[in-house]
Amino acid sequence: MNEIMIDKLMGVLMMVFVFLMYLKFKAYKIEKELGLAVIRAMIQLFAIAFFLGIIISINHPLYTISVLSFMIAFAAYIARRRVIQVPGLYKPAVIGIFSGSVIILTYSVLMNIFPLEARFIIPFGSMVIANAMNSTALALNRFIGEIKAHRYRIESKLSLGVPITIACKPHVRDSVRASLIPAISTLESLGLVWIPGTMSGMILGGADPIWAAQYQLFVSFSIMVGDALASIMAIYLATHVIFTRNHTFNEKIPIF
Amino acid sequence: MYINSVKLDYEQLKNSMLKVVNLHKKLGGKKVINGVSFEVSPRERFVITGASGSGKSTLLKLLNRLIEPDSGKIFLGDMDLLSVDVLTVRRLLCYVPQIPVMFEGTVRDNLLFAPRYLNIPVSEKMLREVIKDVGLEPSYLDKIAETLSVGEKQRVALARALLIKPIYLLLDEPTAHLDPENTRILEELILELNKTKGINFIIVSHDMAQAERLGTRIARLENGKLSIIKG
Repeated sequence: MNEIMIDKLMGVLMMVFVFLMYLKFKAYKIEKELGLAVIRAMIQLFAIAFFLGIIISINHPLYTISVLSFMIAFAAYIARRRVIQVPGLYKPAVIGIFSGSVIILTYSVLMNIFPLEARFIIPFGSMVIANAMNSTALALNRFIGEIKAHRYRIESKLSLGVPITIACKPHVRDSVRASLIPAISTLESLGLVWIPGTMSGMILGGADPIWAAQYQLFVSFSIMVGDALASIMAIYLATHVIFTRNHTFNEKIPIF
Repeated sequence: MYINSVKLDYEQLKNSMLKVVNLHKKLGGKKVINGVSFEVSPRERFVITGASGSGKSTLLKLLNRLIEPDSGKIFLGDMDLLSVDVLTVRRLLCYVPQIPVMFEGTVRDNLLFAPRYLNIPVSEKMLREVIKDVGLEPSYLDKIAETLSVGEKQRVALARALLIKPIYLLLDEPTAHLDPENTRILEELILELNKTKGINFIIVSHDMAQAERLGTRIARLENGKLSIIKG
């Protein structure tokens, strides 16, 4: 089985190689970036597979939780990097992704849907964390954009004596909405356009499709709730970074 | 009257002097406001002039506490405005920015925005009165605020501030974006509001001729220092 998979992998890699040659021949100037991404993906996936093999064989909650914690910290780092122009947003990103993910993971463990065993909770956790990361990055990016675009409107509202929460309300709302668009699009196309990973994997593994669909729904809903919690929390905390307790723009944050 | 749990005697405050003592503010390493002190009496129209970038807007924002001073004191009567709740200060010394930015929705939505959140009761009659006070017809109430001309927006911004009943109105270059005709209308409006409604004004203007027309007293801000040049 392993040999067959490696053969097929080599086959598809050849196809990628031919495609890269084509891109180079046509001078699209993306072959280097794509080639590096392919190599990086292979190294990362084999490394994590090797690493997961060890964690799964140890199967100790402490190691499992450590892996999830590392994922959250790194996800927050990436989310913050996407909002690179504003310092001080790492903490909101970490806490946002952490709260969104931990609430969902705790629920699934308590309900015994995905038990606290590395084999189950790490793949599930990675899905929740990765999506929370994307929604947090989207939310923070949009929020910063909104604040920049509507600086004078916010300032005008503040000057009338309303608190930041009220002055920023439409911008928080638009940012949360924007961050949830990918999750909503995914839910809309579920089953019609694509059969997502969990369900595909279970069906390929021989599980009953109805049973697989139930798991998939749990995963998809969990991801959506995780996304929403992460982005709301991140924006809430980002507000406290961008503005001061005295309901003014924080002069130390070079946002404009 | 209570604002944000602070008990205030509105009538007494309305007749209180605004006193600024040795105010300092550094922005980007530069001393923008460097030991500014002045007093403004009730019913006055105090105009601050100065070149562009001299810190006039910063000074108004310091009074409204949109920017926090590094040191100094601001008093309204006996009340130390730097030690009371910042949202209360903004209601008492309301700042109208240079660019009249409209909020979402109609003119009515704009006028009701702050009173709604600050629990200030505003009747339809009051809305019609305030819109007339700033020289617009009541039919403007249902217009989408963003569609108004700059001059009309400036007047809506003024009405928006008047509805929260500030003790001092801080106007930042109120005619900077207006044509001569609208400038004249707004200047007349300021004089009228001061005379008939007893509204106290602190106005920032780079235009000395305008300062002469509007000000009962005029000061000049230069190199972070304020000097009285008239009155």
